[in-house]
Amino acid sequence: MPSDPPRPTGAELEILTVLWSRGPSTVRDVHEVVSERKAAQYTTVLKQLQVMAEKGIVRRDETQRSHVYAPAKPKEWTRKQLAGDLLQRAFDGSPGGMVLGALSAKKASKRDLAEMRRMIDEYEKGMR
Amino acid sequence: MTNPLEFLVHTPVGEALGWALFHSLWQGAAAALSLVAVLALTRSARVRYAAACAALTAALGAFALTFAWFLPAGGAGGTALSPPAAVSFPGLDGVAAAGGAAGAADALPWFVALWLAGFVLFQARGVRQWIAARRLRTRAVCAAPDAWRRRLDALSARMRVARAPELLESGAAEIPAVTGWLRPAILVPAGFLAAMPPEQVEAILLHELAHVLRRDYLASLLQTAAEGFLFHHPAVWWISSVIRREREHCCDDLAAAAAGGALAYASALAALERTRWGAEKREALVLAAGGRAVDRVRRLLFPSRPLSVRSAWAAAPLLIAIVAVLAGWQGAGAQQPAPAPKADPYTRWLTEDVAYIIEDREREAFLRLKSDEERKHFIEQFWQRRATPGTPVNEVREEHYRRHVSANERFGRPGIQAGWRTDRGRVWIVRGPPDEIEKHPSGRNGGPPSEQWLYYRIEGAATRVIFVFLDTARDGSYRLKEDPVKKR
Repeated sequence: MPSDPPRPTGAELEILTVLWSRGPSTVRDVHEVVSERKAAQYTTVLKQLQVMAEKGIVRRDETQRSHVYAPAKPKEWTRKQLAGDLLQRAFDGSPGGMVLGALSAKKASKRDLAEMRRMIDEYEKGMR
Repeated sequence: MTNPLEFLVHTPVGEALGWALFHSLWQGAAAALSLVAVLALTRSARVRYAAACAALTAALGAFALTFAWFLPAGGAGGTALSPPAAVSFPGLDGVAAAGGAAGAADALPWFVALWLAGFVLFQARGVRQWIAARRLRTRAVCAAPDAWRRRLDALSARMRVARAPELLESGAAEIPAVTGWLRPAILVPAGFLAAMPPEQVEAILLHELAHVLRRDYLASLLQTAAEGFLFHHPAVWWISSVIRREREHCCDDLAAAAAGGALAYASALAALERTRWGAEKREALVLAAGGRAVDRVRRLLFPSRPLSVRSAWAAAPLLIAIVAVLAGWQGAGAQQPAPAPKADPYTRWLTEDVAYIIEDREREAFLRLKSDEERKHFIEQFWQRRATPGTPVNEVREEHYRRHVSANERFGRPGIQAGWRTDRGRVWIVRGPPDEIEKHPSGRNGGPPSEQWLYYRIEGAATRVIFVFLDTARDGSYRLKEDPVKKR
């Protein structure tokens, strides 16, 4: 069993994000997404994915004609790995109140879920 | 020997800050109380949000105005007749009592120093958060799929958002979020768009678009900065939390309207929470809390049911605590040997400004005066008697206040003793800077730390007068060994 992959660099993180977002992808797919936001050479992306495969950050499926790459570890695992990183690249600090979201960072409790379901049912009944 | 802290807070600016901090206690409490009243009166999220913002602005504005009010008018006088000290000097025999009393006036600088430290910390935290928020949109992100970006364009048009924000998937964001002011971006966790049912994603996007429409990002930047000024006040934190909560409610209302009704939107919110419940356990990145989902669903569906009662009641013990602190402060002030009403600029002038140079019969005469008008006149006369005739500026007065300030800077021990009250401060003020100083900070021949001040000439005394100060307690309290002038 190979040991855990090393921490991804900033550029590798970007490629990982593409894979988390789109699921297992070919080099062409990844290149297409990356080049939406900046000029990127196909060969650069290819090279990066090869290096990441060697490091064990991504897995390569070679059963297809064009190889398909997938993250070796789930997103949450990498997040945890980077949170402890002294360099803390993308995850440095908490934006706190600086980001505005529809969801609370705290998940609803089971009781809250039941309560919400009850209220929606009650509301629907009232409308009929 | 100059203590930087002393230098920082024993200035007119430091004192003004101290008074502004003191008064901010009741000002913030008053702002919070008015907000409680508004919250009890209306359920409209927009009104509640506006009231909370107004309360925060009022608290901050009052703080700034109070600070400006206590600042000396500026100009020539320097420290002359600066704003009243918290407690005037306990005894009139200034020199004798100099070592003893370190009252509330001496404690004030400590509050100011602590506040300054906290201020720096909180503003630094704000900057860090801002940097983190900016980084969130540049690192570990990729463009969202085309189909979703086109959908966002359509939703933006429906919400009347002038320019559709960028839609990014992020490996770092744990929950959907908006960041950026001039070019806002909506960030969703990578994989979120693909994993969630489209109608739930749309509900979230509508909510985030409402933030963009309302320019909430800028508002939260300003809010964080304001918190950095009034961080010492629990009521201000409460006001701030009301702002954050009502801001989300405002966005819920806008999103619900655009989503075709409260039910559709509330169902999507509830479903989203259910989906999250199933998701794997996560390390919680502490992000801005949008409030409990269950409260928001209740507010959307049954607007008449009480829900904010709890938060209003939560503020009650807080306000009681503030009132108690204020009352305690007042009580402590009343127990001081010198009652608060005497702490006017004239008392201070007598017991601090000129404590060492005023003659006994002058002091008696001054104490007999009845009106401030007379006292003002007396002070003018006092300096006139000491002035060099025919000069436009009273150099004696100027020099005296210069020495006073520099004694505070050099010899003050923050929180223990103001510089002018120390033995060295007294000699410095009365005699001016010595011609030579010999310092033995680690003692000489095994004795305590000491200083010897040499004056070549002192009026009415012999030449080459030496003052010896010993720090027998080794705590910086250099005491005059014996007064060489009196002795001779």
